[in-house]
Amino acid sequence: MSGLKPRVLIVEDEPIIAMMLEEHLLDAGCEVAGTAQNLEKGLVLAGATEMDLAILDMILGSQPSFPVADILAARGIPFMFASGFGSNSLPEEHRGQLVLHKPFHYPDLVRSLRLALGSRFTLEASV
Amino acid sequence: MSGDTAFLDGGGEMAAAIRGYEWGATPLGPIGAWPVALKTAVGMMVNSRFPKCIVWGPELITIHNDAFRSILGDKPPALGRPFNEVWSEVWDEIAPIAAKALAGEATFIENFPLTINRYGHPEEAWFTFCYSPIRDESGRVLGMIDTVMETTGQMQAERNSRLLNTELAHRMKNTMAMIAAIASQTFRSAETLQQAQSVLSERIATLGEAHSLLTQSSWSSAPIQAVVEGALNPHRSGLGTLRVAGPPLQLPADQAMTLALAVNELATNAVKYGSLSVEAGEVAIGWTTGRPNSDDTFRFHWVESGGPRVTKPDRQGFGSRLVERVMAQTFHGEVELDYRPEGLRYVLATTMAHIAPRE
Repeated sequence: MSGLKPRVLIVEDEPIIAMMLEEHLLDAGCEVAGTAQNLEKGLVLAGATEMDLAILDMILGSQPSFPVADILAARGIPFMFASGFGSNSLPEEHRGQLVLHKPFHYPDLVRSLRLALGSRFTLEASV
Repeated sequence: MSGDTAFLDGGGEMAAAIRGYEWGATPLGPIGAWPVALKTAVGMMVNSRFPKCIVWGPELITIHNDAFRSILGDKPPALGRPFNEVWSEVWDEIAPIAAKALAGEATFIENFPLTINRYGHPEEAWFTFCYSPIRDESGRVLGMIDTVMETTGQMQAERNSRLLNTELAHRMKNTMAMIAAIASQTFRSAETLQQAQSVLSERIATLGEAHSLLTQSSWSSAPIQAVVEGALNPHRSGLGTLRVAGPPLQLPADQAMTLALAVNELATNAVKYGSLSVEAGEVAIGWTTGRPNSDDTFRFHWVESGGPRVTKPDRQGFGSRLVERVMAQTFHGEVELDYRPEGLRYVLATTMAHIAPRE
């Protein structure tokens, strides 16, 4: 697998934060598999995109992104939530998921990426 | 006859109703033959301005004062009827408290929640009340008196303020996350640390200005004119002319903040390289609207003229991505950024239906 870049899907309703995530992911040696700004697009991309990981903003507008998580879980694709709230706002079935706490910084992201991707990829990023 | 009911004197409309009621047909019997304890209690009750209600005998016959009518709402008249029938919808919850009073023990409960039906539909209400036993001269409990204050308004206000607090905490988190994202991208695309510092403080000040406008409307919306003027103000350098024109329109919070940031970027660029860098330069800023929530077009434009010859920058920084991508996404519309030699022309177009809070 070495040499291959992990492909990451971003589901984030705030475009300024999505842009930062894209930059951070590129810096960390990832590829951006796609960016969805709302639940509707998130559902489509979650079902159809080739990816190794997804980062989901927990709330999109006023809707939780859990339906997107359900699709990813069914496809066996790892994902993490990004949220300003704690992990206790997660429903039962996603309780164990990784949560990236907002506002987050580049090193937090890289740490979480390493945790989520495990040994499948080696990130070249320096923290 | 009036001698029999002199204990009701001064008791308002309910005293009159009690006086006129056919008590002979109830377990209480004719009013003149009521026990002294009942007469005294009823006399004190009808003369109280606190909502009060007496519940008498094993049949729990109800007698209440004027103030208690607000507790009953549009319920059928309660006078002379069993208390458990008047409050049948909550009887399971209050029966043990009534039983305790009738067994000789008073209970005081604050802000007790009950789902009652007094206006033809179930309603959440809260009450602070005391059920106290009423004894005769020999100490026997013959009934109880319910003294009650409704606290529904106060409880709802407390709940609203808790909700508002949660909402503010959420917005605060979002704002922090947004500032962190702006800072990160500002430093990344800046050429020097000094430049990053000044650009970042301008961007944060712009957000702050938009925040103040939104705070005036409890964060629901802000007038577009004020949003645009607020973002332009720090850039009114004296060189060039700014013209702002457009009909009144309320922008939802996220669009107000994004537009403010975009105007700040356009103005920064105009002061440095564009029409606001020379005396003869001009910027026409305006917008056109349509019927709310329709497919009519909303268009915002920024058109520069009279400035130095324009060339397209070779590098796309955070500022231009804010003006293009972030604006297009936040307004669910399309952006044209045209580096015409005679002056930059920027147009955002969307439908009026998209000038609405994010669902």
